[in-house]
Parts: sequence; structure tokens; C-alpha cells
Amino acid sequence: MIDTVQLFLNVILAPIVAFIIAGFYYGFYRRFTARIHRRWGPPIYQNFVDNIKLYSKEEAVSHGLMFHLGPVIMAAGSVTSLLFIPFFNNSVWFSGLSSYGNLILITYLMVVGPLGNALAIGVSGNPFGLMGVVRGLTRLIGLEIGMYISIALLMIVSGTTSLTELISIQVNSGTWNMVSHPLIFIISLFSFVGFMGASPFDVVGAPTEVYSGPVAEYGSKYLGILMSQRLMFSFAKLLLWVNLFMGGAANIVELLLKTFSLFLFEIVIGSVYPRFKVEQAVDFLWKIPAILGLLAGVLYYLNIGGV
Amino acid sequence: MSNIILFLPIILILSGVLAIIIPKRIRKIYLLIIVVTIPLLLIKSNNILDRVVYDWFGDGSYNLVLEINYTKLLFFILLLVSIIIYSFANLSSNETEEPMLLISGGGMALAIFAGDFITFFIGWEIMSWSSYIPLINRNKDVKAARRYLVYGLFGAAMILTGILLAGLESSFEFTEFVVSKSSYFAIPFLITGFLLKSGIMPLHHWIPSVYNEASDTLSSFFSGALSKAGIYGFMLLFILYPHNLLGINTYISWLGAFTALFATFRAIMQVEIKKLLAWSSIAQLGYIVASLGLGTAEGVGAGLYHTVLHTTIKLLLFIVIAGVINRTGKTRFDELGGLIKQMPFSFIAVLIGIIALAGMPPLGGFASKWAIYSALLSSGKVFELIVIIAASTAAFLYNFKLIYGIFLGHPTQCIPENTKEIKWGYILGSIIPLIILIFTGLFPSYVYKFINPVLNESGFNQLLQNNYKILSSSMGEYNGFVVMTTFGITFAVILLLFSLIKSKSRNAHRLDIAYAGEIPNESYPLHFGYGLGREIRRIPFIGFWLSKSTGKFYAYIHSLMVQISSVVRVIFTGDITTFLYILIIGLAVFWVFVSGGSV
Repeated sequence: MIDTVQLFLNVILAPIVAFIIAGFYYGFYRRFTARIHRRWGPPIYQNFVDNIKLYSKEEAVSHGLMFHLGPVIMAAGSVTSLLFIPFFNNSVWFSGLSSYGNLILITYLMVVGPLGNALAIGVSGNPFGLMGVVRGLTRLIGLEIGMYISIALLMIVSGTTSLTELISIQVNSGTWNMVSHPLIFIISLFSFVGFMGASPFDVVGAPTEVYSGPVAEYGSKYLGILMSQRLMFSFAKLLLWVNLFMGGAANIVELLLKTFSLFLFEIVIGSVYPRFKVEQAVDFLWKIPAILGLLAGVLYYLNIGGV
Repeated sequence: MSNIILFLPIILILSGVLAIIIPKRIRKIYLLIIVVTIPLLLIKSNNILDRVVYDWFGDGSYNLVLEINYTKLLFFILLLVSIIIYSFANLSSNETEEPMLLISGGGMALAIFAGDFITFFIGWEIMSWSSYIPLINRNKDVKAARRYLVYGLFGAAMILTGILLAGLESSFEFTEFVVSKSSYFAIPFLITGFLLKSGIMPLHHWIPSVYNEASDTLSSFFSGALSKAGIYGFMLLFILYPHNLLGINTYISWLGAFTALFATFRAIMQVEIKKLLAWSSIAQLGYIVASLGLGTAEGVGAGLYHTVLHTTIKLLLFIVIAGVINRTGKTRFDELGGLIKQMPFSFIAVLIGIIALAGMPPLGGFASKWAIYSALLSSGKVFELIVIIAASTAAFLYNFKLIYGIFLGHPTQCIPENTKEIKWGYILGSIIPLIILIFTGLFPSYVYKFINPVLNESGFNQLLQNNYKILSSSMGEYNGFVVMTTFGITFAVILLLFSLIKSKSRNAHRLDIAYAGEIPNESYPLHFGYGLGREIRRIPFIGFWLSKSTGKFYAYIHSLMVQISSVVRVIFTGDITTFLYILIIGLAVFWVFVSGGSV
């Protein structure tokens, strides 16, 4: 396996690197959106400045021990799910604990965060925050269908649930899964846009428009840790999709290019579309990916290519 | 010594009958003593596998057989754990159902230890009527007991038909069972009876009202033990019949998957706590049956793993909820709320319960879910997997509703200052399931040590695991130990770093929340207990299926029958003159036929 020092370094450095890269990506997002709105936008490093500001506030309003622990659970869930996704496809550096995990574990670990959020908001008793949390869980019902259709088809086609094996299959055959299984990739893109919190599936947070949302009661350092973990978590999701469908990354340049292209795709869609209501979103996500998944299943069983 | 284990069913039934005449104050201690000595007997006996035959008529035509093998031992241990935890919780409750519990437990043990169909049916019936009696006269929902009786009789009639068909051309004994054409036709009847006991759609209709009507601790026995009698029946079919004859199992597997999906949606809509847990039990048994129906070693192994875990989780949840209801007297989500400060242990117990029930890592619930998914993947059943994933994801909503409606949010009718922690009996009863859940989280494949002999006896290949920390299947590995320690260490490190931040936390008053510029006061309804999750009705697909219900379906069939019989009523009116006309005409026709018209 990996020796302890290497493992230790991987585990410590992975969240930090994810935080830095995602911070710059979202800084770019803010500037990109601002230009669409015909204004200048903040500098690219603004997210780091905001985060440090939130941590340095003097006082934070809390509602008890569970409220204090809720964001910590969210952060622990995000970081743990990040640790099981390898950054590079060919090296021991930044591979975290991916040799011990599998794809289903990663997708389930990604739900621990919303649970911590839900518990903390529940303790605070803010009904608006609670409505946001319930919207989030309802939207999750829709997102997981598309994601699991694509992941399950991918797992059956490759015959394994281990992420490292899926990556090595792509590296050894030389083609990305995006190219050899295009229909599966298209099905997964619907859920990808939703998971990254982009329109039309972003009614959960619905920034700047709807008062209620899962972060309604958090302030100062709690909001700070929420922001930090959201950045790490977004990078984890980008990394997961790159590993599953784009063959992983061999070095840092490739990693940045591939994750940034996926990120650009997602923010472009998010900037253009208005948002669905939750029930419309779930209905859409249950219809379109399911029909495409049915088509993919039929194509797979009849051994026609293009799945 | 092993002979004592064999006769345990009869000992349990007789001690239950004895408990009827014992005064009520001593009954709880009596129950505790009896159920605690049984594990000691089990541990002390060194040769468990045994068999005893009783010649019923003396001429060798019918033998009543009791035997123990590993399958029977696994299910008996599940029953035993249920009874032990019930007896712990019973110490703090006001119910006096110990006689019927012992008789019911003894009946189920008799059905489990049975080595022939006759003893099996005797045990099944004893288990059924003795679990019906505690439901009468509780006055919450008087139809619940009647519904249980009718459904139970239907299931028992199906099983009896199956048994008689199976025994037509073969002996009733399991070891001398011969598969013939009539025993092949017995399979659907037997399966229907087992599905009814396990609560698979559309035969699930009795479960929510019965679990709600039964006393709170007895519901844990229903969910933890009695529903597994149906699962034992499935394993019995795997043992008796060659597997290629059990082709019906693919359809049963689909039935289980759809049960999981639709029961999960129904569970989200519930407002009564125990009805939510009842629908959740139906959904979890849907997972088990979907996995068992695959008919592969992985599927059956995963189904059995989930059986063990589901018993543990439901025992924990039902016992803690029974404690909460006992303490507060309220049974609905919109009457409770905000009890986390007064009941911290209950909160943590229910939290661990729902993390395991939702199948989230790092606890043991994820291991069984992963085993089920691996089994479905390696059998190539993508569509069924998608239905089960949908059910699994929707389950997060009702799990959150369970913990929010009772412990989080704002207090409604229950004043927190007057509420204390749940009574010590319930706390004692919840310790064993908590330990089991954490242990299976760390060492997920330890349970396979008990499941592999069962697989061997049912004619499947064993799923040998190398390492207790790693659960391996044909589709990969899951290292529970690493995941749990990683999560724990990450949590601790982040908590440490977070606490080093210099800003101080100020505890705000309960009503001091971000409320869009207003400041709410006590009269504002701020607890989201009734309606949480009910808005899934607005999703067109889910709302459509939620508007259909099995009760209405049965009522529709009833109205069809009424219409058909009203057609028959045209001829057979209730009027006596019509009867006279028919009699005279009939006699005339008869006279013509018999005598040819001559006088």
C-alpha cells in the first residue's frame, strides 16, 4: 500500500490544494457573472479575502452544541469524500485513501454534508432554513437518479465499483469514458449541473432571490467554515467527474485544464437558464435521464454501441 | 445440553401460559429471568446441531420433527435479541403483555426450529394468534386488530394450501422432501403467505395500523422479530427446492423493489411517529426481498445481512421512540419538538439509528446497502438498482423527519422544562443495538461469519471474507474500518481547528432567529412537524402514486363484488315468491326429465 508519511502528506495537502484551486475557480465565476451583468466584478482572489474576513469576526451567534457541531460535520463529510477521490491517475501523490474506497462509498459520503446541515438548522429552529434543507433533500431525490443511472451503467460496463480501477481502464485503453460511453456521459451531466448548484437546479440556495435557504441562520465563523467546505466539496465533485469520464489527470496542468473546462461548462449553463421549482426539477430529472437511461440500457443489452 | 435448546420453543410457550397466572408485579422480573437464561444455555452448549423426532400416530405415518441447523440458529438469535431488548424496555413500561409475548416468541421459535411442515404451521399459527391478542381493546383504532386477523388468516390459509399441496406426493418432513409437480405448484401459495408476513406490497396493508395500535414496545417485537418469519420462509424455500425451480423469484424481486420505493414515499407523508416507522419497516423489507429474489449467493448473503441489520436498527428506534412516547404522552410530530436538550441520550441513539437506517457510512447500514447494490450490479439488474436507489435517496427525507419532529425545532405541546430523559429500561434496551451498529461499522464482514454457514445449507457458494475490516464482493471492496477512522479523525481535527478560531459564540434565545426582519413570539407556529416532506405530493410522478392506495384498491374490488352480486340478485331476489316460482318451475322441469312427461 502506501507508506504512512506519504499518506499523511496526501491527507493533509489534498483539502488545502482543493480549497486553493476552487477558491480561484469561484473567483473567476464571480468575475464571469459580473461581466454578464455589465459590471466589473471582484478580483479573482476575493473568495480568500471573504473567507478570512468571516473567520476574523469577533462574535458568532450560536444555538447550542449541535448548532456548533453541524458545520463541523458538514466539513468532515466534504473532506472525507474528497480524500477518497484521487487527484492524479498515475501517482501515489494526492491519491488520499482512494485505494480503500469505492464509487458507491463516495456518492454516499457526499450526503453526510447535507445531513450535518440539516441537523444544525433543525436545532436553530429557523423554519426558513428548514424549508431550504427539505428542498435540498427533495432535489437530491431527483439528482441521484440521473447520477446513479450513469454510474450504475458505467459500473456494469466496466465490471467494478472501484474508482481507481475505472481510471486505470481508461488510461490503459487510451480513450476517455466520455468518448467511449457518450450516452452515459450525457445522462450524468444533468446531475452534474444540479450537484454543482447551478441553474436550473439551484432553487435550494437560490442566492439573492429567495430568503430561505439552508444557510439562513449561519453567521461569521460558521458561515466561514461553510464557505471553505463548499469550495473543497465543489472541487471534489469536479474531480470525480474528471476521473470518471475524462480519464483522470496525469499532471497538475492536465488536472487544471480538465476541471476548469467542466467548471466552465457548468457556469455557462448556470448563467443562462432560469431556475426550476423543486417539484419541476425533480420531475424533469426523473423523466429525461430515466428515458435516456432506458435507451442506454436497451442499447447495452442489445449490444449496439454508443452506450 | 443441546436437547434443551431444541425444546426451547415449547419451554417458551409453557412459560407464557404460566405467566398468565403470575401476579402482574412479578411478571416483568419473570420475563427478564427467562429471556436472560436462554443465551447462557446457548453459550454453554457445545454441540448445537441436533434433531429430535416425535412419532405422532405411533405408526410412522407422520413425524413431528424439531431440528437445529445454522439457518434456524441465525433466525432464532434474531428472535432472541428482540425478546431480550423487549424485556429490558418492559421494565420501565406500564404494559403487561408478557404472557402473549412469550407465547408468540415461542410460536415463532417453533416455526423456526420445525423440521417438518406440520410443526411449522403449528408454530406459525401460535405466533399469529398470540400476537393478535395484545391488539384488542386498546381503543385507539378498533379496526386494526380485525384487519390483522383477516390478513393473518388469509396468509395462513395460503401457507396451509401450499403445505397440503407440497405434502400430496411427498413426506412433510424437510429431510425427506421430494420435489414433484404438486409441490412445484405449492410455491406461489407459500410465497404469498411469506410475503404477507413480511409486508410486501400489495399485502402490506395491515402493517401501519397494527404497528400504531400495538403498544410501543410490542411494535419493536413485531418489526424486529415477526416480520423476519417471512424471510425465514424464503430461506426455507431455498433449502427445500432446487434453485432452478424458483424462477418466480425474479418477479418477487421486482415486487420488493417497488415496495421499497412506494413505502418510502408513504413514510415521508406520515404524521404519527410509529406509522412512519411502520412504513419504513415495509420499505426495508422490500430491500431484503429484492435482494433475496436475485437467487445468487451474493444476493441472498446481502439480504441476510440486511435482515440482521434491520432488526437491530428497528429495535433501537422503536425502543427509544417508545421511551419518548412513554415520557411525553404524545405520539405525533406536530405535538413534539425541541426536546434535544432534555433528552440528549435519546437524540444520539436516534441519530445513530437514522444514520444506519439511511445507509450512510461510516456505520453498519452502509455495509449492507453496499452488499445489496453489489449483488444487483453483479446480476446485471440496472433498472431494479435504479428503483432501489430512488427509494434509498428518498429515505433521507423520512429519516430527517423522524429526528427533527421529535428533538429539533421548537417545542409545541410538550413543555421542555417538565420533560426528563427517557426511563432507564429503555436506555438499557437501546445499548445492545448501538454496540452492534458501531461494531458492524468498524468490522463490516464479521456478520458473514454467521451468514456463510446459512448460504452453505441453502445450496449457495459461500462468500468467504479474508478480513473482518473489509467487506469484499465480486464488484470491489469496502473497508469499513478505514472509513470510520478517517471520518472520526477528520471530524476531530476539524473540530480542533475550528475551536481555535478566536471569535466567541454567543448563545441566542430560541426565538432569536433570522426571520425576515420580524421577531417571532411564542404564538408563531415555528415547528415544521406536520408538513415536513409532504410537499413531495407536488412532484407529479410521486403525487400520482401517492394518491393511489392499497386500501382504496381493496375497496374497489369490494365494490366490484357488490356489483357482480347485484347482477345475481336479479334472479335470486330475497323475495320468497320468487323462490316459490323457481321451486315450482324446477320441479316441473325435473318431472319432465325424470318421467318423460308421463304422469
